[in-house]
Amino acid sequence: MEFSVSLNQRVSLSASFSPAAKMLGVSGVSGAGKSSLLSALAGAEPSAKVNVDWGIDAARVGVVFQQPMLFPNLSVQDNLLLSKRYAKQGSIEFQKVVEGCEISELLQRPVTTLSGGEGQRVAIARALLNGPDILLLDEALSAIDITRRHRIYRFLSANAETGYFRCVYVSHDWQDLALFSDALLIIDKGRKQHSGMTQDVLNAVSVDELGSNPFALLEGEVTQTAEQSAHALQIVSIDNTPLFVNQCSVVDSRAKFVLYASDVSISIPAKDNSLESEQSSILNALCCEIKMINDSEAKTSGKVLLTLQAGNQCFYSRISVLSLSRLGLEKGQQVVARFKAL
Amino acid sequence: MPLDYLPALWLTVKLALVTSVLLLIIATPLAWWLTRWQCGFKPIVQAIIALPLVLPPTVLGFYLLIAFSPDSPLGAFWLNTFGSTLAFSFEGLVLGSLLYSLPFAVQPLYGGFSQLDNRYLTVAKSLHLTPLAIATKLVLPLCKSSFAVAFGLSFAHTLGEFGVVLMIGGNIPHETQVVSIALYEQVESLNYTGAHTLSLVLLAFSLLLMVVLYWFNGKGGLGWNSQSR
Repeated sequence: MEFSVSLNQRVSLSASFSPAAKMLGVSGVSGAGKSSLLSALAGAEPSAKVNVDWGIDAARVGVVFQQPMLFPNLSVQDNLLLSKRYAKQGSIEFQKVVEGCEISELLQRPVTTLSGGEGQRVAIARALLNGPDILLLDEALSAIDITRRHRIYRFLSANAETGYFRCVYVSHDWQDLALFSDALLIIDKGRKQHSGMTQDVLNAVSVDELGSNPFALLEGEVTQTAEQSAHALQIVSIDNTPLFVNQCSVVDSRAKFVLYASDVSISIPAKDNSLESEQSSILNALCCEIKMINDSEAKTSGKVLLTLQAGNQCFYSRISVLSLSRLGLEKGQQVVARFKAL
Repeated sequence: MPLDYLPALWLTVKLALVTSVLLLIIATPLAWWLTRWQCGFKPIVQAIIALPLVLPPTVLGFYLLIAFSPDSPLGAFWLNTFGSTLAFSFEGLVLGSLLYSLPFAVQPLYGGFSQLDNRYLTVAKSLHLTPLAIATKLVLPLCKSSFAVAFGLSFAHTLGEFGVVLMIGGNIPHETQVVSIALYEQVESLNYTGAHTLSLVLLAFSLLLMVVLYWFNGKGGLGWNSQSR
């Protein structure tokens, strides 16, 4: 998948992505040109110069905007059926889409009575029923609550993986981008800032760009799914340590989850190195090494940012300067990172 | 006595009906094209279409009369094709009314099409709806109040036509004598009873039409706009 887009002075970029990238996340600050880029890719910008190779001949491109743009003169069901009538052969079945987008109970409703999030779910379903080869989502899930949003992303991701379509989605939410994209494109002022496979881009993005609360994307092996366990949490093994995880995306028993710096606390391991000896409601404890201590904001905020490494994976912890000095933390020291089941 | 006015009344309604139906057929593509057309000359085209709003009807009628004469290309063409002159005929009146009421059909449609969120069309195209499906499933229902207003205003405006008719149609009963002309004739011949009857009929009918129009517009005019999230 590769494209180059030039639209007036607003957008000018080209990017290419591996065929393995079924879900492409697009992000950038407000006004960076994300919507313009998607609009141009959708063919809705007559003045744009667009050169695109989706990797499919005569690709059908579906587009869903932040505002659902459901046809207000039709019911939810009639919106869906109209789309279905003009669908390509072999697109996803009606019932599967209705269940995946969680809109079974909305079918008979007039479009005008839907809430923002309900409308967005219906709009995504309508686009899917048309059988797009490429699905462009311009913050199309922004009004859906996080749990449901992640379920729908998982549904999209699973179908993209099956080969029904490829999805390009714009989001402001780093967690959504990190969890569900195979590749990322970060743009700024209409230009490409970073692009590539998700983990590579996240590594390339500086801590500052991730905002005031940086995060890391951790990956591990699922040893027990939420369905199998009695506590509705997945158990994911990282560096041979079992971790309890709530929000994650799972593909082929590999789980990805996002860990924010503010959610990680640090403790010094007990003399016997046993983690179970103390009792705490914080479920997860992971032995790791302090790779870096960033105290550039220590004066203004009283906080420092630690970069930690467990196995070959890095993540962050934001702690107070006071804790840093009380625990006497130093670079290279072995510590225990603790965080709740997220 | 009032029965004597029936031919004039029927002729007026027939003229208004034929004109507004033809105008919808002409004005819909014209307004659609005008909405999408971006060019420096656009204000000139808009001005020409709007001209009948401000031009004295007699001016329009005078030029039409010239154009209808067998000496002019249009008049000659009509005479050769149909064997009759355009001037002082019902067909001539229809042609005159089309021009005279054109802005009343184009402007509401232009307004409706301009307000139609472009993203509806982008989505409809991305869903591979055919142009016919886009027109009938989307544009027509979403702009139905604009269509109703365009039809109603052209109809009402043609009802009130006087100057153009007088110039190009004259006052031939059953052929070109519409109510407004018949009224003028009654006043000229000092038959105030007849003038009262005709005036009242025209007044009541026009008022009724406008009430229906505003009622319809108030109900549906903003409907799709507030619904588009």
